[in-house]
Amino acid sequence: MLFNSFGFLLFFPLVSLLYFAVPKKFKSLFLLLSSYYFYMNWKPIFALLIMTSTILTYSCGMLISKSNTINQKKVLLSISLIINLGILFFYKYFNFLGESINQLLIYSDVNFKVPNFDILLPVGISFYTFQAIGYTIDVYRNDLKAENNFINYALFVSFFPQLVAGPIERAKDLLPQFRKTHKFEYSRAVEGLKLMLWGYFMKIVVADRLSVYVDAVYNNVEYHSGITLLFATILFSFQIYCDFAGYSNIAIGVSKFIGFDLMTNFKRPYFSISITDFWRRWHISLSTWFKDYLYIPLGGNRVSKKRHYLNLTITFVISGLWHGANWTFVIWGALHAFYQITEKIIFGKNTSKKSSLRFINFFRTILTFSLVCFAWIFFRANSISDSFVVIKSIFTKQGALFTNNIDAIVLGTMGVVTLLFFENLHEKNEGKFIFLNHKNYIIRWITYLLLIFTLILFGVFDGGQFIYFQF
Amino acid sequence: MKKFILKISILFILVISIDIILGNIIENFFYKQVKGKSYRIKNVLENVTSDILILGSSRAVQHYDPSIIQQKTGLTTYNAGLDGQSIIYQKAILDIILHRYTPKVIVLELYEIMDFPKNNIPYDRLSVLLPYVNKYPVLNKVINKRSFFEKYKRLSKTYPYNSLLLRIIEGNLALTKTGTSSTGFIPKEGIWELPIKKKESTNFDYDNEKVQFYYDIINSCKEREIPLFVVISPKYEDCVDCFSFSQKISDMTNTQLNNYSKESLFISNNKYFENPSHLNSDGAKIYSNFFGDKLNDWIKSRTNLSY
Repeated sequence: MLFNSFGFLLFFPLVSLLYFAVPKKFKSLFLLLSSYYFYMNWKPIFALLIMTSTILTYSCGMLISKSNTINQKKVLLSISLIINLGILFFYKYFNFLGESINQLLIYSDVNFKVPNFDILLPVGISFYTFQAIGYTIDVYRNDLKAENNFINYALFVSFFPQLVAGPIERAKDLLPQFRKTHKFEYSRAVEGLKLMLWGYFMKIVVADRLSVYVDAVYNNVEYHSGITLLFATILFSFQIYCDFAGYSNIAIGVSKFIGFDLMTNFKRPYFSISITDFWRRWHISLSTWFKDYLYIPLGGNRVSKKRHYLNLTITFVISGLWHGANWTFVIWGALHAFYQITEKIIFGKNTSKKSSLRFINFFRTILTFSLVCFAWIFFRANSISDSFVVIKSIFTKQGALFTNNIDAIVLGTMGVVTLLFFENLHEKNEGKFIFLNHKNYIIRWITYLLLIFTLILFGVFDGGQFIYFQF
Repeated sequence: MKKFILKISILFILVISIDIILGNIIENFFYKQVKGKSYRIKNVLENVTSDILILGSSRAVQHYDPSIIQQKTGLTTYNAGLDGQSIIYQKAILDIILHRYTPKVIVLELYEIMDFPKNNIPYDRLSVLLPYVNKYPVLNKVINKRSFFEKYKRLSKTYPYNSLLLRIIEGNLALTKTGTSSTGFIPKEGIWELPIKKKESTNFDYDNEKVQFYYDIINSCKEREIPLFVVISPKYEDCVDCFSFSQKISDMTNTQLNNYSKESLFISNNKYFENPSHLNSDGAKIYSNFFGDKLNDWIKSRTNLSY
């Protein structure tokens, strides 16, 4: 089930009402069953994978906590990591690796072919696998006591608001919340609904509208002019942001409504004044996960400069690969590592320090946005060769802007302008939603209604919105 | 909880009230359109009474110039094609049109890669017909196939106008030339410069339900004794076996499929194409002459057609 499906609009109020109604001792079990129902709406069989990951990491956690020797602990941690990452590797990366090896064998004139399997990628596998792995590592490091209650632990891995697209929660933050009794709280419920409303605006009105244009351009890059490709790349930067952040806001809002706090995942990243600053604001749950479980164990920045830069590169390349099984994502990650290393060489530790001169901050924001956009080309392009076609065309290929469906451009651009207007206000007011939380209830309610009718009139609900570009 | 329920109820009542008022206002402007893409559909459903009616996707819109076909056949002609639409849309509008009048000839441009594969895209694209469902209940059956929740979504008065507001403004202010052609024909300029692509065949899992829509069109025409000319217009593609599925399902109902996709005049000439699937204005002019002759011969060969 997706948040932007009509089914979820029925599922959410029903589950919320029942959650507050069921007796305390059954609340976790009820949420667990609801979460599995939520997930099994897509492909029921894949629930077995979550169950496997849950049982494995739960058992390993328990055994690690009871182990007396470090070697025993290491073996158990290794078993958990190998099986969890093995499942993730098989579903997400096996064919990618096979194809890459096959290409290499062709170049080397070797007559052998790694077989390709018809594998469907289970939704959310990268998210819940990382969350479960994080738990095992925390128990291994003694940062966290192993969870005894299997229901609570299973709920931690499969909690429906953040199961499909995060935020990737930490066990120390989320598990204790499952032990508490959550009663309905008016202020939390309202705050949650406001976050959901804003999340839906970002996802359905902005991201899904922009994707209509971006897909039409990026799926046929060789046919488009430089100006079209540049425009589509800029639009994609907002599409990907609104897609991720919109979904995160809905997840955080849903959780808040029923009494749970999830971590903030995005903090207006396009207002960043450096790439380092960007990564403090972009997909925070993932970047902090990589920081805690990969970057710091590698040595972080408390090593020689060369080693520090290598650590950054490894972390970002793997982070790129986490986003998708394609060399384009590897390049995207490597580019971000390169940006940050360059920043550190030029500015040292002051990369995120704001200047007292506004125009300098503005220039840095634009420069950061441009660098991020450039990297998005690799993230969005269907292949490396497509990425280079885009880059080359932007600088060399003349021609008019592709305007086959002006609606997508006008409505998408209006969405982006509205987004930037509100984000600018949030940025100046420490992330507070000014209009949605306005003291004057008339302004507040008008904002609710405007957002609701913007969703109905301008939201993209299905594939009915399209740009005809089928050759 | 009481406070919350009260406030949510107020919000709910406000949303319903505004939805009804706003929906009615938009509906009023929707039916006042005089130009544009939305008007084009309304015109086809409510005004067109031509002898020859051409149905199809953008390939129909861009390929058939009714004025040329009219000259060749002596019959008034209208091009009712619509960008990105498939056989499901053709069947849906034909049901409404046939309720109003009976054309003398129907031309159906088939495009199997859009018409028959197993996917939900053609149903999603029926959103253009949402504003007409209340007026033409015959559409209910096909529109409800869009999704399980479709009938509940349509409880909203504004939902049918989702994503149409710009079009409605455009149609009311007559801001565009798009869809303003009195014959429905909208030629495109531009020349396809890239070399012809080779294709072995079009492989796809076909959807039985969509094939049934094709058969339903054939049966509707048979019932009303309307001659149906099924056609595939030229493509700039060197494809060995690209329309075999269309041929197969046409043969099963003894329907003649007039496949001009590989007509030598066009396939050897990129200057007639805007892109591999669409003729440009020059190509459309030549093709309409070619097609007009073929259609005229076909009409004359039929003894049961009087005009």
